[in-house]
Amino acid sequence: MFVKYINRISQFLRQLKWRIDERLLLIVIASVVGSFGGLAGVILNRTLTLVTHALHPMRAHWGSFLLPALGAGMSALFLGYILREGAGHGVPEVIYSVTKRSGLLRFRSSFSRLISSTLTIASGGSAGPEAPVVMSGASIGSNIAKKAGLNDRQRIVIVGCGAASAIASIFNAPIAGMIFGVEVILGEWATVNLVPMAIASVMGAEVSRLLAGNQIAFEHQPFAAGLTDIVACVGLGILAGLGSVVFTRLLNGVAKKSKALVSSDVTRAAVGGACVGLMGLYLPYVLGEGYDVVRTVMENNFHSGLLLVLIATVAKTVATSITIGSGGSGGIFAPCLVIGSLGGLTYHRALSTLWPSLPLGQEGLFALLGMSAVLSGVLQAPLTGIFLIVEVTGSYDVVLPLILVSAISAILAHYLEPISFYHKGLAARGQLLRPRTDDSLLADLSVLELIERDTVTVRESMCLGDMIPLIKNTTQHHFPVEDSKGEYRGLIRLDDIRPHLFNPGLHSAVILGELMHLEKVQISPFDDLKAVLAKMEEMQISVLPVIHRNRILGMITKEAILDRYRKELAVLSC
Amino acid sequence: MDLTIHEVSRLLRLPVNTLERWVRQGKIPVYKSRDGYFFIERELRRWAQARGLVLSSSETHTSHHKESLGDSLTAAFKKGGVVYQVEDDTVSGVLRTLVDAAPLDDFINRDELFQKLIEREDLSSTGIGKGVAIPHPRSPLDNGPVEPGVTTCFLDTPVEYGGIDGVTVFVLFLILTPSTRVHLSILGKLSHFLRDPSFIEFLGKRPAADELLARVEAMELESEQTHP
Repeated sequence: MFVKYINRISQFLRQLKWRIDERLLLIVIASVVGSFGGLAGVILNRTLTLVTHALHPMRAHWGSFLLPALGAGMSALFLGYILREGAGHGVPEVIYSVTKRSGLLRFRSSFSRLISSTLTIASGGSAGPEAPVVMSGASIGSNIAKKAGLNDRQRIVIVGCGAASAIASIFNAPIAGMIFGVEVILGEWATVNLVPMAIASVMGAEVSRLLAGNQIAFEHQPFAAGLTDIVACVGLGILAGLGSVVFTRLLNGVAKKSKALVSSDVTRAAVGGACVGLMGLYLPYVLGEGYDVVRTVMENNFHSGLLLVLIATVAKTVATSITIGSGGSGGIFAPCLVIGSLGGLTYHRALSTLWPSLPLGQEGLFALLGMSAVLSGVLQAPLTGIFLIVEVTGSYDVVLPLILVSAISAILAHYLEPISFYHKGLAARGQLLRPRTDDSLLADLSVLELIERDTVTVRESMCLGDMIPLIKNTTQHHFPVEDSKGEYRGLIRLDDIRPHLFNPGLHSAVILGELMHLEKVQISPFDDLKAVLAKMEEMQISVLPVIHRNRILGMITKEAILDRYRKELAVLSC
Repeated sequence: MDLTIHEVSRLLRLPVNTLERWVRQGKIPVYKSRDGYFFIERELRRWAQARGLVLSSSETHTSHHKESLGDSLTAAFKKGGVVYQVEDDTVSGVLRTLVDAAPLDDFINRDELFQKLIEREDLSSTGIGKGVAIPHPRSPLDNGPVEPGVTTCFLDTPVEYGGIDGVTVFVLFLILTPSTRVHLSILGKLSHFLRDPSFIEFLGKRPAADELLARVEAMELESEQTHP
């Protein structure tokens, strides 16, 4: 039914495609994708609330610590064996698809993470629902774009639109959604991207407002920041930056350690869930996505003492690292907010204990600043952090300290951990190709596109004198040498034989097999261009033969690479 | 006008597989029809210009084609014609008379040509020995001929030309070409023929225009058969 509906829409869009302007087309598709993304957000939010409530009576039982184990285990089972999708929380997968697979995502990704993250989070796992919705929205966007027959560049924008609408819908924050899409997912600020993303964000937020009311995550509250607060937030920014780095490293550390200890995905997730469940017996606020904790803190109703708040901050950090690191399904967005708010509260309480006369603002204000700072630090996306907090709390009065705290945290985190949590796995595999970078341009070009096939080859048994007509009649500076079976043997450089060419005595005395060089230097047609250039650099040579199964296919020159690289750069601005 | 991907590949000097990728990635304006995609030439030109990509135009191909046709020495001799009974004691006098008498294209500025010939002689004499000189401008004329021409000029009295072997010059070949490449090609052939002593002897008889032409044609034919 749903698929049929999508098919009909896509048919309509395809008909529209060649009649309307590209920008208009993108806007139309973006609004469709935005509504679906918004819907996905609402669905996940509703289901989470529903299941959490249903499970609530069991919380009182001592055995309830097994609940997160069961949930995480089932979620890993569902992802790994039923849908055969890798674990992971979604955002890196979307970024990978955008950079390496030109925005292609499987249709099943549009619902897989929604189900698995419901299992993980509603049962008590400490993770956020945002990344699953982002994955879902992005996948809906990708599939609609594919159905509508869009090209790669347009599809990538639409994938960004899906992700943007997801964030916009969950937090009722269209601007934050758009900025998240650009800053984190696409990594490219271009006007062509911005307008459809804005439309999709607005649609996502609008759908969510329509179905869930205007106050989605947090209540709007008035906050005011004085001069003391602005000065004090420098310290908070530094602490949040350090905290973000610790959190990122803990997440990766747990993932690596747990993989080494337990090989089965399901068992690992279940064990992780049980650990979090045990923590939850004593510190119940580490469980779940934690929006209620944030709400309580922002309303200045979190009454535990300084030490307990500090413990809560650390516990939430550890619980999230365990849940996600062990393979539970969910994102780090909401946990960042919880850790940030608790951290901000800790900072406020510590400061007022150490210096009671300091005229600080409300505790809620520092919770706000902490959220933005931790989000900016972990995602290394300060704008997303700033706009999200401004939008969800409606506190435009605190923009100044927000910017300051987020910038400090992001800069410090970037200094200590140059690659953000989302990008870390991709960068480790060399797959982080941000748009308009050298890496992404080189990844686009392939050896097969650059190969010059009209190369004149020579036999190793030919005499030096036989080279003279070849030199006269070609423009080549390098001649690949073949043996009698046509297999590649080596390369002759004109520069190397130049002194001997004018010595007629050598013309019939030397055969080419004696003159060739660089027997081992060759590239395969499937090498990536970065490796080819590195080889050229290393050998100090500007031409390399392309060899496949010992046969010479042609040559690749630095000159051709420069020419094509420049053309590739020129057509980027479309 | 609609273009196929192969035509665009030639225009942009890019392989088809790159263009196919550009289409897939949406980097080039393209339209889809029932039998594949096509490009609109006007839009493509505007697109390329905005990005600083140079399209190879069809005109450059034709002019290149024309140029290579003009490498025949016989045709150049035919175009340049023959001038007889030139009489003067000095090199510049000879050249002046030659330039004035030669059957050149109307648009060629004879004064400028004369100046350029003298400039070239001042750098180094064009007397190549055995009584032969090949006066020519150092670089192609600004408003030069489209086809190369070789004007043969027989002197009644040999003149002291400052050639390499000190022999007085009795025959001059005025070479006018559209480009350095053609100049070298014409000069290469001519100097190859001049190495043949029987040809020099033949020139010494101051042959009639059609006789000379027939001899040059025969020599060119022979050399083409031996060195294809």
